[in-house]
Amino acid sequence: MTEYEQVEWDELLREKQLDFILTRDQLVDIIKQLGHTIDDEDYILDRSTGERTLAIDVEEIKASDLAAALPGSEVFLRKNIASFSQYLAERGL
Amino acid sequence: MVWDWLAAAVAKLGALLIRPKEQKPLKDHSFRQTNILGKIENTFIIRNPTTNEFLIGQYGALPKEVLETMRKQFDSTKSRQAELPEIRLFRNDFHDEIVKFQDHLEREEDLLRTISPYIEPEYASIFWLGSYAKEAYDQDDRRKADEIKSQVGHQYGSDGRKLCNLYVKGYISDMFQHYLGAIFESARDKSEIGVHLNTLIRRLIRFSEYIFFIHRGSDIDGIASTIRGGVQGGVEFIALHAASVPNIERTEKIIQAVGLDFLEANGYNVIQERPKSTASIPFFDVYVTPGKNGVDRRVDDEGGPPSTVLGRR
Repeated sequence: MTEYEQVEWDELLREKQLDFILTRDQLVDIIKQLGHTIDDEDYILDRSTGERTLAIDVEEIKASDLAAALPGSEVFLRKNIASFSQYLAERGL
Repeated sequence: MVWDWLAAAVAKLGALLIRPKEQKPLKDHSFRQTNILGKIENTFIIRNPTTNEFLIGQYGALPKEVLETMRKQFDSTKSRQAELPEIRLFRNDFHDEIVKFQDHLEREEDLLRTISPYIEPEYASIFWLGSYAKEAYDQDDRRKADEIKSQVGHQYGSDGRKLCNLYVKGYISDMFQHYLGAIFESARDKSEIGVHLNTLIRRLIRFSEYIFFIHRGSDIDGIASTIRGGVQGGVEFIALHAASVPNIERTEKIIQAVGLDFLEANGYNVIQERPKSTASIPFFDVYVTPGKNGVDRRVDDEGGPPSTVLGRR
């Protein structure tokens, strides 16, 4: 039987990279906690300008379509592997 | 592995963040588990991409310091703080695709590994995706390959989709295998290599005006008309590529609409490479080039009926 151990956040935050795998609601909740708002039509608004945020495919993105938020210049992705590939390429990976 | 009851327990117990001591079983089955765990209310998963370890946490108990770390990481006005982890946020129905794609990139072909640092990011990305789609075709997973190409189309438009198709059909590797050695030998620095490689790709895009990848939305009469115009204008290379029976039938209709007599009369050879009868995804490739007169005959790999190469007699 598999055994488990408790991990302290301090230990985890010393790692190089972490992927948080979240439900749709959790992901949107975190985006809001980071300062973004959602308009009446469900589009994500930029926390600085208040305008609709563009995803990496340069189109406005709804909260319900958000599949990933990536650090750096805060990249929002739809569920599209090509968008993620573009993100990696721009970072030289 | 019963991760669902474990996640449910974490949800009830509170501010726990746990991981199994033995990670191998979780790693082996990770693809289906992220979705299972995401369905347990108020729990979430953290994956360490470096070690491929998975942890289960209680979402409601996410510490403020973690949110503060995210805030710093996502602030584009500040440079990345090296002492903090890079945190990426994924919806649970997307993460498995990410992992599979990154696994594919680790097996990346030598050619892509060689040229990626020099070419424009869009080109590198499209070639990676082309390689990913090609792998899906090789594994007889046409639905996945089509989905990848569709997503390429959404991200990069029709030119991007075409470049992806050119990769799948081997044009990209053929071109670079021909030129790469000479470019690396003659270029003075990294920047010059990049200029040469990007120029080659742009030329290929222009050259591919008469390379058609036939799909359900292909305009049979429109393509036939374009081909006839190209032949009358003396283009040096025309190709049609199709996968699956309906697309093969569309391709045959296009050739019929162009007219073999018309091609012969204009001095063009037509090479039709027939699909293998045993292939789960039949492919059909047609090449039209100006060439010598006469009729050649080709035998396919399985010794089936010969494909015909027509030319002006």
